[in-house]
Amino acid sequence: MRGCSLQAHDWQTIVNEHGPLVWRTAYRLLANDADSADCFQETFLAALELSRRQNVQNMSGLLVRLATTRAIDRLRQRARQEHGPAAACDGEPTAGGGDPHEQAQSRELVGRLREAIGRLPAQEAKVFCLRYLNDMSYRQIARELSIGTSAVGVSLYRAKASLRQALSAAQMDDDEVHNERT
Amino acid sequence: MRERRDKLSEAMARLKQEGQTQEVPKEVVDETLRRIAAGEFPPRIGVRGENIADGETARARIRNPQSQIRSLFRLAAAAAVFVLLGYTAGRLSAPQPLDLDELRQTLAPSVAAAIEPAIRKRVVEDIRHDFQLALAGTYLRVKEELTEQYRNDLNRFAIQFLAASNATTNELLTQLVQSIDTAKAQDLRRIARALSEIEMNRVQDKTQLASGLQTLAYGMEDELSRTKREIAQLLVDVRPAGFDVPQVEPRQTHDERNQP
Repeated sequence: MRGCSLQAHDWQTIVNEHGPLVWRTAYRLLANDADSADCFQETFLAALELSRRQNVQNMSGLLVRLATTRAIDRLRQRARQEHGPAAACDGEPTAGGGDPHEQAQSRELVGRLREAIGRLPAQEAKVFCLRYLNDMSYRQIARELSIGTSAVGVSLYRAKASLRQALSAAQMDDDEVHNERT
Repeated sequence: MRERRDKLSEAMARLKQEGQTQEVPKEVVDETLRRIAAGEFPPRIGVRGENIADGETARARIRNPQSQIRSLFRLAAAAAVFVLLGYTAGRLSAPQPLDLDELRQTLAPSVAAAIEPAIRKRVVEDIRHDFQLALAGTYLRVKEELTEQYRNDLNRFAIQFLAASNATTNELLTQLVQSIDTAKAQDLRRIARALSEIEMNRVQDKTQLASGLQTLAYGMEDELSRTKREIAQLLVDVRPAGFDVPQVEPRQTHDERNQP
């Protein structure tokens, strides 16, 4: 798909075709309609600008990468502004219903993971999201981010270690609070 | 570790599930298409499309080299001014040099009074500590010496006891061997005597038996001769007429044969 030859109706097709994927990618990380909408628009506008400068071989991968990058930037902004994820999220109920306590725990766990992703270095966060949330292969990630596959592996390893540490630290804090209350 | 990994896996799975059912709001799509049609690009798009203001790729912005050099000069000048101001302020606010002898004379009594109890206490503690160490060392040394002496005495006593025990055992063994030899010789003598008596009895019995048998044979021979004569006499007495009686020559008796 040649970006320089894309017209407005082509972009309408692209948005209709890849919009759900981009929206899911953004909403999954941001859990907020307003932020997801901004991320959605910025992703397509950035893709438009890129398509005018260079050839786009894989529009789906490009859009996922741009949406992930935008969403991670917003997560990092939240982390810097020290806004808790609960305050910034819409609080989407967990699929499947079930026990409200379990749903609350699940929301809390996911919120902690988002918060921890926002505190990761940018490249590690991108690699982690593209690999585990968008199911991209090492080679695809390396091609999209213009890095080597070994760098992808190293970033993934570091990201997982940091996230495990962050989740366990949050769990220990919660246990201490629970013990103090009891 | 496994729990942390499980937590991370669980969180990743739940995060991946989130947003699956979300639909793109139509107004968002319309607004996006409108902005694409109007060519409204987001502010500060980087080379690879990253948001330069937010991400770490902000460092990758391409800047004008002249403006960079100019800002560098400004920064250097500001730094120089700050250093100069700091030096001046330091020089002006520096305290006047003190008279060390006077200060020492003034402070010496109070310092001595203040630190004397502490020094005394420290010296006492050091001496006590040294004494304790020396006593502990002496105790250990005496204990080791006594232990060594006790061990030597035990070894010597054990050696002497073993030697005496060996001599006594040898003497008793010698006596035992002698008594066994004596008993064995006595038994041999008794056995030899008994065998000799048995042999004498046997020879005597043999002689008596031969004499008896000889006497019996002589007696039987005499009896047989006498019986033969009596039978001959009987035959003579009961013989028919005209039958001649054979003459039987009497044999010698035992006594007759033994006569010279």
